[in-house]
Amino acid sequence: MTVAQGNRDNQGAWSRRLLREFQRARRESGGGDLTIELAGLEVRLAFAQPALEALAQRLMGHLELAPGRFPDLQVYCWQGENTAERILTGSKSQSTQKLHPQTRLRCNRNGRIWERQLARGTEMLLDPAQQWGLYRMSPGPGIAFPEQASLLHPLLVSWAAQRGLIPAHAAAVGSVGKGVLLAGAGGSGKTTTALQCLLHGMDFAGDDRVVIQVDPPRVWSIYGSAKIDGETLDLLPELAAHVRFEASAPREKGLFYLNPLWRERITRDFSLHAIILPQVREPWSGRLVRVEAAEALRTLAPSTLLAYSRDEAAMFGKMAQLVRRIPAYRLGLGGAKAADGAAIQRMLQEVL
Amino acid sequence: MNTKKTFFKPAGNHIIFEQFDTETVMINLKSGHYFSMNPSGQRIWDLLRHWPTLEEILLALGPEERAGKSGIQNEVAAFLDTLVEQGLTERVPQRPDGLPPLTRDAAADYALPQIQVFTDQKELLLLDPIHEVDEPGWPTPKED
Repeated sequence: MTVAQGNRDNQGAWSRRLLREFQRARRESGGGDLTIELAGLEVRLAFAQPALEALAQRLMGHLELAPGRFPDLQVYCWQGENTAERILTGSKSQSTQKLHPQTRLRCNRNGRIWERQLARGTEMLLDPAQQWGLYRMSPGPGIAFPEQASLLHPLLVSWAAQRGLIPAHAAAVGSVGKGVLLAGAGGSGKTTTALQCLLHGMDFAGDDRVVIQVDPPRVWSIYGSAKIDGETLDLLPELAAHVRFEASAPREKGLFYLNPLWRERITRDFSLHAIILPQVREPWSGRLVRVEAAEALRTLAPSTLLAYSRDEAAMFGKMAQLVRRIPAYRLGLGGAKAADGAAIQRMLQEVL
Repeated sequence: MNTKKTFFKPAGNHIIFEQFDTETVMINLKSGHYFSMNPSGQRIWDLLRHWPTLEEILLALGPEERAGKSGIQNEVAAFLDTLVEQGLTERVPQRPDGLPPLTRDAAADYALPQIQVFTDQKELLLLDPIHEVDEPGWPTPKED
């Protein structure tokens, strides 16, 4: 047997092993399917735990579709023990205990992608050619906070990127099918602006994880949720009853699920008409200030690329195409507490 | 091969950049720093694919009499120092033969080359390191 054959057999054996684990978990724990439309395609999610299915409904219920016969992607998702006995990084054997807790391990061979994210406690296999994926999460108690906020994110964005889309670190709001992207590093005011717009009647497509198509410009929703901290919640007290905070960080890590409350206000996609760069630390500008395409790229690209960390040059090029196609504006918020939601909503409507 | 000189070359493909009329946006994927370069800096960056020396860069930027001015030399040298410090450029003692020759733009105006360094995403990168695993590193299933 050649090395290549051995590796293919190894990959196949491991995939079959994981699938058997999923099937066993589903027999033992139950769980159903959720079929969603993601970036215009049909994705069928199969869960081996009712709590996971319920979480998927809270996060992605707005994307639900009646199942067709042939989904573009079939995903099997469950919680279970790690099945791999070793991880090799480079030419050296290395146990995961020796790695930084935030490390991601990734192998891309024969078109298949395997990735383990230690912080999330997840392991995934994506086979784009065969249109299926496996996603194993570490066993409980409960479901880890990153999954509660963005279930299946590593797998779904890998798949979207394989299809030429940009998994972006940005929010998106709009109305009547037209939207704007809200781009900026963490803490720039994306969530505050997006939630202000929601409370003032605009539709919502995402808080900080969306998928972008360049030609024609379009933004696709993944999650109907928003990560919110205590300071933002002070600004939006009407949401307080609906925010769940992580017990270990009661002022820092809060989650707000829009699906149970405002499903009709979460949209699957918008045509994209502008990029807005909220700046929470800048004085309240009272208007949108047109900026160069380079500034938009400088704002959108680094956190998107560094968070995604794959095919960076190609992804960067696509983002450059996007910023050349649609205008970008800076919006000084004058501090989170000063943000005037009604005025922001009016300004954004003017560019739609 | 040329010897006993210092040549400047672009660092590896962990540097990605996009040029606009008024600015070049650049990211160093290893450090997590990103950059904004003015058109004058962009002109120097373009020259680096020839693996030039400082003197060659100065000559390529405009008239010979201007290249000899110490103020301009210092400004370009300082700019190159920043590129090296930021891991965007490497100093090397040799360059390969066969690189295309530099062309001088005798009519070009000179402006101070500038680069702005942004470090606010560095933490994100360092917190979330990626390890690409070789083919033999595909997970091996435990025995049943």
